[in-house]
Amino acid sequence: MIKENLYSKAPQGDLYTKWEEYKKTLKKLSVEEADQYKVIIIGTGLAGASAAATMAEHGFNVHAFSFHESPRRAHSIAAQGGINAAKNYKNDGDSVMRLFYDTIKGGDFRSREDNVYRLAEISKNIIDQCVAQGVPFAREYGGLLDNRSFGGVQVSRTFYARGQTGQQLLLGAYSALSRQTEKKKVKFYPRHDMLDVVIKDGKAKGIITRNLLNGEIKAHSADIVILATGGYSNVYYLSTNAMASNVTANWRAHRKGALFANPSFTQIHPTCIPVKNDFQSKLTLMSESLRNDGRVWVPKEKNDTRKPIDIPEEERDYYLERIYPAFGNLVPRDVASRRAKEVCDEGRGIGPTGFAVYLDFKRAIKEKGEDFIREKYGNLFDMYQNITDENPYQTPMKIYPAVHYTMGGLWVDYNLMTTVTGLFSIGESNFSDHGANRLGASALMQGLADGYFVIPHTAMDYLAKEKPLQKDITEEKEFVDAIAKTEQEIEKLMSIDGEYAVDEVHRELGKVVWDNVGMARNEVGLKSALKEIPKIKDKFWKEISIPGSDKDINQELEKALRIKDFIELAELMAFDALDREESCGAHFREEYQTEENEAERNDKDYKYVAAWKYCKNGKPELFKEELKYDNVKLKTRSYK
Amino acid sequence: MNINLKIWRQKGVKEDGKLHNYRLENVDPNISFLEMLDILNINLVKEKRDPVAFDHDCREGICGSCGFMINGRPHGPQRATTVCQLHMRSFKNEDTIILEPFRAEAFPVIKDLSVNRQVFDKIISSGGYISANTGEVPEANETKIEKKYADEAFLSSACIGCGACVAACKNSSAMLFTSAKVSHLSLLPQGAKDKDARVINMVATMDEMGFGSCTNTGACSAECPKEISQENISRLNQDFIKSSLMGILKRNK
Amino acid sequence: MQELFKILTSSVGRKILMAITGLSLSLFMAFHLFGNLFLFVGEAAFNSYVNKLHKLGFLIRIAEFFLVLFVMSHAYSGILLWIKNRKAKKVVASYSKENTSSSARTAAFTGSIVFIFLATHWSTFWYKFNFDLQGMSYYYVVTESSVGFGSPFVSFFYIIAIALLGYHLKHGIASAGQTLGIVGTKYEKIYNNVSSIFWFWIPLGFISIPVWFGFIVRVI
Repeated sequence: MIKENLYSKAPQGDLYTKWEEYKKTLKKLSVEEADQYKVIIIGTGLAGASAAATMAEHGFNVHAFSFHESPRRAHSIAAQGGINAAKNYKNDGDSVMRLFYDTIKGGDFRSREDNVYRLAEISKNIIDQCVAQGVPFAREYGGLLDNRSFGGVQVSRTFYARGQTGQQLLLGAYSALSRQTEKKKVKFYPRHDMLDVVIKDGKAKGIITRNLLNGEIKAHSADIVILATGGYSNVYYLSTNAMASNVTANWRAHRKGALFANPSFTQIHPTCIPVKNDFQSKLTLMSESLRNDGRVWVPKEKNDTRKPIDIPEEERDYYLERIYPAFGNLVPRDVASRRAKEVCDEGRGIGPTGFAVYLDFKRAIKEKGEDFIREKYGNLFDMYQNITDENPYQTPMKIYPAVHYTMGGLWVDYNLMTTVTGLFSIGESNFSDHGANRLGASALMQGLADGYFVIPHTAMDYLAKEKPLQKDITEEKEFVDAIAKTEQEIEKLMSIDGEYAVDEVHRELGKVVWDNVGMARNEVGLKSALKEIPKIKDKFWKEISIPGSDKDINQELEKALRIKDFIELAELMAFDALDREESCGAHFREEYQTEENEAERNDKDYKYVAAWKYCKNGKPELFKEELKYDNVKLKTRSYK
Repeated sequence: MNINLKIWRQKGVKEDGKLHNYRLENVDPNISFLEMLDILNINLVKEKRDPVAFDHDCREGICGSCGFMINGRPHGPQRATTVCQLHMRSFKNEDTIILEPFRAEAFPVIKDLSVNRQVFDKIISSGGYISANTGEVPEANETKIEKKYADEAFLSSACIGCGACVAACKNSSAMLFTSAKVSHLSLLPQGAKDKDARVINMVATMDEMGFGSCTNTGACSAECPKEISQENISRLNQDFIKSSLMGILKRNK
Repeated sequence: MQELFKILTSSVGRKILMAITGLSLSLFMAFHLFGNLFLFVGEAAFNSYVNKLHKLGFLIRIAEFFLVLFVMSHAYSGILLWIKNRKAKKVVASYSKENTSSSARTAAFTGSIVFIFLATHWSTFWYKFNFDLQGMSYYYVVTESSVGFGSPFVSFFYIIAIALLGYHLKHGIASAGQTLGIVGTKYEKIYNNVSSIFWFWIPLGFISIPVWFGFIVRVI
């Protein structure tokens, strides 16, 4: 029996009407009333920008912060594939219910029913909103919106703008935000890092920021703080995330009492361009769609150094087709990734590092012609050739899985509020909707659902019950103390006079996390990670070097502040992975697998969200929110 | 391969800068240009010297953060490629590579190769949007948009706002950037709403921000990493003429 | 009125003004060349053509007024834009010119030379024709006198200046097409075809006169 001690606060009642009914009970403010309140939003990617724009439309005074120079630089911009919506324009039997079910199942039954249903419901409004803003989605010749299928789902519900859907959606949200900037309802603070949340009388009432241009540490007070700060894939050093994506804002909130949920649920995308050498800074994703025509294989023999073209068919192992005759190369992301790791660990990996597998288009080119392949994947092939200097029309691509998205994040209730009153979290930065594995084209959907359609209602309800501050309270003790603490921390970092660049320490950390809390985990590895990480922490605090001044642009200091938090997070991830003695979705514990090497869930003991409380000296404390499935039946996923 | 770098070093907005020489040996030709700078910076940090500041983030050529002049060309020698997607194999052993920030009065240098492009946000907020409050919009498929126009609009909206157009232009004009947004929105039926005010206001803001004016040299398009077409400028001009005339006619009625 | 002023003084407005004045002046050039070609027909034909023009009287003066106005506003806008652009640009030590045509880059320079040429053109031919004929025929002033192609120096300067004018128009006319929003429309192709008449054939026509009367005739 799971001992539950954390509750989602989702209203009771029928799942299908719950959100609409609940919305009616939420308190509203008129534009004039809303004008009394100040809202702080950290992060201006899809979730943050859409929330800022909508809150401003409702009359709130929004102060939006980003470490970027412009909202348009947020990493939401790099999403390629598309955004799901249950519009059923194709008449192929899609519905809100079906999107809801696919998402729950895709998440391997580790997400909250109420939130996921709401997400599926809202998905339709998102498309309407984006089209009205001028997002140039792909269209059919008749002028109607086009859809494609994506990520192993059986219906076509993905809206897309070539391979740049994230860019177009972000530019849409950015334009809505810009419109409010012009109206002076949004004030945008570029190049600001958030370094602390300030809590006064038990409620989040402000933040501490560092201006990256001049190092100024400043307090900002507000009636509510919303975090929209994205995911933490960069804890692995190498990931498909942007270089500066970080966990700092979330981690600082966590240290102030916000619970961190399912930190070890991280998604590994199977088709990325492999690491080529030690200088690699960042990994590049190749769209999942390539697996429609590409065949994955490795040599049957270990340490086979022949060129791929010299390896005859009978000496190749098309392992996905062999293990999964039904789905073949099209198994879901987590399965494809784990199998690639397995063959490489056996010593059958290819390329200079041995950590890559072939993705071969030879048969598709032979059967369908080079022109067909060029038409369909030309952009991707060009990108691959640009990066690797190899021609994928002639020689198979080399691919390897890479960290791509984090399902874990700050724990939030149905209203998207964290366990700190007045502190909300939206988009990838919260844990809410994807369970243990995210389906393709769902991240954009969630970011915009939270920002445009959920937080404006729930935050307004919260504020309507709060007396507005109506003045700056940054002179008060809590703020002054928080500034002093932040300054001390920076001073301490600047005073370390070691030999290492912070990137070097980060790379070390990444390797430990990747090896032990990566695609497959086991007790021995996780325990060794828990031994290694404190050593890295020690090295960080004693042996890094940050040249220059903290009162100036100092990109090394920015990195150091982020890596400091990544190190602490890495420890929590290992704790979480160790605690969850089952395999589910992207969390694969080698001890818990079926005879056919598939993930083995333990619903009896682990059907819960693991939310961790920060404890200063010692082990984090675990809180559990039991997951209840009243509307779907728990099943084991099978792709054979 | 070995390379010689001449990099513009400048401490801050108000300070003067100059080119400094650096040499890197045994560079793997398969690393990216920014990875080469990462290596240089790690070396500098280890020598307790100030690393070179440059903007970058996604390293996939889409966020628009990166960009500086490489041998006098924004984003370097390769067509339709941002700096982050450029690789060292585009250079030869013992090449001397000159790195300078994007130069324009409207883009003050913050430090080294990093410039401030916030004026772009100002141009967008003066009209680069369609007024549509959240939730108060029609069903998405109610308005059909001919594929031709949807595709054109997409091509215009592919701009990543990196500022290469301004840096390439001998007049530091922001016309390609501004016109791409004006075109994107005016090609779509939804954009008709704010059309007249949009073009007039965005041009006015662009002028105020200290950009030069367009003399149609075409350098912007040629250097644009997303190959945004010159036709956008023509379309902006067309809109500008129409909207100006309409405005005058309306008010004199 | 204020509104019109604001629009015309914006960067795009100034460019539109330049495009319209520039294209008008190009049309005038065609007309001017038509007259000049009478020189090849013979002395009588040319003289009678000029006389006919003179008989138009004040109409010609009005046309000339607009001509000067257009030249001046074209130059004035050009100078203002040039100053603004100089201010907007900061020097890049390594600036590469690979991606622009030199006709585009040098438009301001070629324009200035053409302006100097126009000034001398008026102070010589135009002044002589109108006020200082001293009993010479128009034909003689052009082909034989020291302000005309009688002087190899004048012929030479004339050829260079017109060549630069053609070069100026090569960019100018294309640029006007862009400024007036013709590029990208269905008229673009026609416009581009017609434009070569103006930047290539018409200047060639002008140049043929000093080449023939200033050099070839003198050699044979």
